[in-house]
Amino acid sequence: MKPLFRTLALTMVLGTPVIAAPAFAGTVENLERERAILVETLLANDMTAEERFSKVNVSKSRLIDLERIVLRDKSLVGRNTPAIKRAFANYDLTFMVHAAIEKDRALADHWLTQIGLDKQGLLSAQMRRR
Amino acid sequence: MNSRLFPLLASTALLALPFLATPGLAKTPSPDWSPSVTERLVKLPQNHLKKSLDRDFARSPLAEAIAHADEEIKLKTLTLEDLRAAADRAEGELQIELRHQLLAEKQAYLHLVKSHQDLRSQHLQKRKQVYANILQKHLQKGGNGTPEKIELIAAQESAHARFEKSRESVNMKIFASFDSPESKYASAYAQNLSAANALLAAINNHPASRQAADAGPENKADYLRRLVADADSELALINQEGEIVGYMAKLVALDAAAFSEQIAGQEDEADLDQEQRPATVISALNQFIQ
Repeated sequence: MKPLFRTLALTMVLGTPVIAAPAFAGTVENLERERAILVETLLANDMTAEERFSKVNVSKSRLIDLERIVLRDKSLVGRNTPAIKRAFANYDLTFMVHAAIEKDRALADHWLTQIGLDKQGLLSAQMRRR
Repeated sequence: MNSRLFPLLASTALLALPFLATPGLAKTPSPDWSPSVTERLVKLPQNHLKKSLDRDFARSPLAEAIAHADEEIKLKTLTLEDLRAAADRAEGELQIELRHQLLAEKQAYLHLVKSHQDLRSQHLQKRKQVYANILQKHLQKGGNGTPEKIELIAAQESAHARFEKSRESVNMKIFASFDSPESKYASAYAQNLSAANALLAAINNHPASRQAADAGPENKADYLRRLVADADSELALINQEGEIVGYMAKLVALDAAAFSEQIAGQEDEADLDQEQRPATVISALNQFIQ
């Protein structure tokens, strides 16, 4: 009886990954995650300029690949999901690194412009108590 | 009235009857063809689609039944020709018998033609349904979606176009600004891309692919719509043929009625002749001589 239990248990353990649906993240989700990390790095006020520069560079090289993966992903064509729709609604924000290089602008500068904050606006801003 | 006349008239009347009620032809369990609209069929290029369906149909019991009915019709036509020739040559009782047989064979011929038409109609209906289903699936898969989907596809296309347009310059800037080596993805992608391009060139040069291009400038949806229209026109022709068979049946019924009248007339005439002819003197002459 014991070998039978062992066999059954082993079969269940081996069989579980097959039964459970694999939780693959989509290419768009991977891009969004990496982009969030980059934005967090850009906004972080607890790191030195060197640290930020090296972290941004790492994110940038990752994002170049991820952006290209999304742009070349044929399975996304016509897949009308909110995430995909949002991703392709604004090229400059989603494919941030490519757009910044294309426009010859610094990444942070490009991102701030895209969300509506330009250099002039930031310089003319005043610190006030609400 | 002769006793031979009754069965003849009865059988003639029976011959004529089925054609007066047109849809009342013999109903036997008909052979079937069950084509299924598989993913493979939907994905097939347009010039292979019809061929594939033709091959599937050729293997079905319905195709076998149609071919068999076609053969039977040809044989029956020969029988009719032979019988007509024989009836024209024959005289008297034999001629009547042959003419009666000719009418019976005409009826059998019409039965065969009708069942042949039913089978062809069944085939075309199914074929039309298959084409319509493929067209529907094709349209569901293809670009004909909701306005939102069309908008998304347009956005994706424009993003891709912008990327392709700026790729070279972006690559140059990346190469100039980054001191890190090319990523694993980028180098593997470049390798795969050259392999994919070689394969793509082979696909474009493949004879089957050229055949598909020669098939015409129309897209798959248009091609399927044309196939549905073709099936419809063939069905209309079968309906028209059905009307012709109906007229033939009426003609056979009229022939049968005229034939029975003619026989009845001959019999009455013969009876009348026997009754009215006076006994001649010469008929009794032998009595006297002997």
